[in-house]
Amino acid sequence: MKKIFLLAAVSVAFVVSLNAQYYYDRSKNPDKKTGKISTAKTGRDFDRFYFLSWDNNAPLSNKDFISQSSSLGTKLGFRKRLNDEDKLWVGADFGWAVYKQYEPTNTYTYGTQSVTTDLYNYAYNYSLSGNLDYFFLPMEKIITPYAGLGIGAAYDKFAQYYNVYGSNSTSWGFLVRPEGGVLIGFKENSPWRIKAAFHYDFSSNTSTDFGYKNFSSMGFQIGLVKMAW
Amino acid sequence: MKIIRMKKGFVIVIVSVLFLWACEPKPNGSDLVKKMVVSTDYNSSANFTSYSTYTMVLDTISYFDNSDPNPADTSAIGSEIHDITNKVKNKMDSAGYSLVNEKLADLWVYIYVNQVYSAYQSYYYNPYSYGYYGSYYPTVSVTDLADLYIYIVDLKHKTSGPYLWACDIGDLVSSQDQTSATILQAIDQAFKQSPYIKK
Repeated sequence: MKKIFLLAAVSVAFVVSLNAQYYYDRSKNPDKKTGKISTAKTGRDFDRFYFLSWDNNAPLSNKDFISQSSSLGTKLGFRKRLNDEDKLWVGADFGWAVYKQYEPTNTYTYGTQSVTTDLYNYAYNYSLSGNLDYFFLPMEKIITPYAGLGIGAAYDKFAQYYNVYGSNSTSWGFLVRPEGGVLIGFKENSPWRIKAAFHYDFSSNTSTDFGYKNFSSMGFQIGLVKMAW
Repeated sequence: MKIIRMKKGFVIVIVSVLFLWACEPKPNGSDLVKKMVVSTDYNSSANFTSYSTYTMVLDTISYFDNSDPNPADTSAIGSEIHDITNKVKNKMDSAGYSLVNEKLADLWVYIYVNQVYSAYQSYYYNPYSYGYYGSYYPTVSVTDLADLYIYIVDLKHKTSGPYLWACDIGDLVSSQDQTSATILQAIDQAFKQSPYIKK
């Protein structure tokens, strides 16, 4: 009888101890279930992150207007983990880029009219996309490569400035942005990380005045990521 | 605490987006106005070789300023004006035309400056200003532009159209060059891009 009582007491103590351990861990994330990857995690179980990137882009369409690459751009976004697998992350990006090119003085003739001037060609590009990223490695790793797709809307303003005069045209379009990159932490499961990624943007924006049938570009972004939970 | 953190992040993102959306860098203003824009047009039915002589005023050009309270004040004189008329005269001479009395001339070369000054005042309502109902505040936007026009008019066949050749050079107001050098370069360019003006 004593043995049975002792066995029961030890079992209860063991279960209580397990529960205590369980609730200790859950105190950090009380509403979360532990998945197979997050079980092995040390430290915070990050389930979202924010980033701000410096974006460099090369235009691919209508290079007669602007062919020069742009280093005047940024991307701002966030991601939220979709499930405990740590692989699918969903979020949104806001992108801003300015392309510009100087055309030295030239004479342009249209029929009986001729105009001589130097030109400053500008394209202002704004984009807002919903994104889905697939991370190939658990987020706690130092290096976490990913591939993603963004779908959303793009707003372009094409402008030409000469002397005190100018003209512009604006356009909204549908945006598709495949992207591949990597997050690099400063240590395992780092709260701050570097983001480096290549992306291709295609948007259906058109401008008959400036000769755009669409607007596409290749870009490289590098920025800072803040992990959150 | 988590909700507060999320809201804070969301607000930062929204503010950043609005800031960037409003950010449209433009070319440097002083670079833009280094050179004037030179536009020319001609009557496609004109045969410039059929003319031999021209007339023009050498000591003055017409000057129209919509902000000038005296509407009769429409002439500009001075050494810079003389430089401009001389430059045009030299170009016409080089093209093979001879300056003659207006009664004998085939062509009339007319030069004038048109300055348009406009100030637009509007009011916006600030509901948070001092006072119970807020206040209206004025904003003023000013535009001041001036162009130099050169016209060649057919005096032999006055029904052939309003002009044989028209030239528009601007903007004179924003030019950083306080001499007439930039205008003289622009006049050179106007005749250079109009090789059909020749006897």
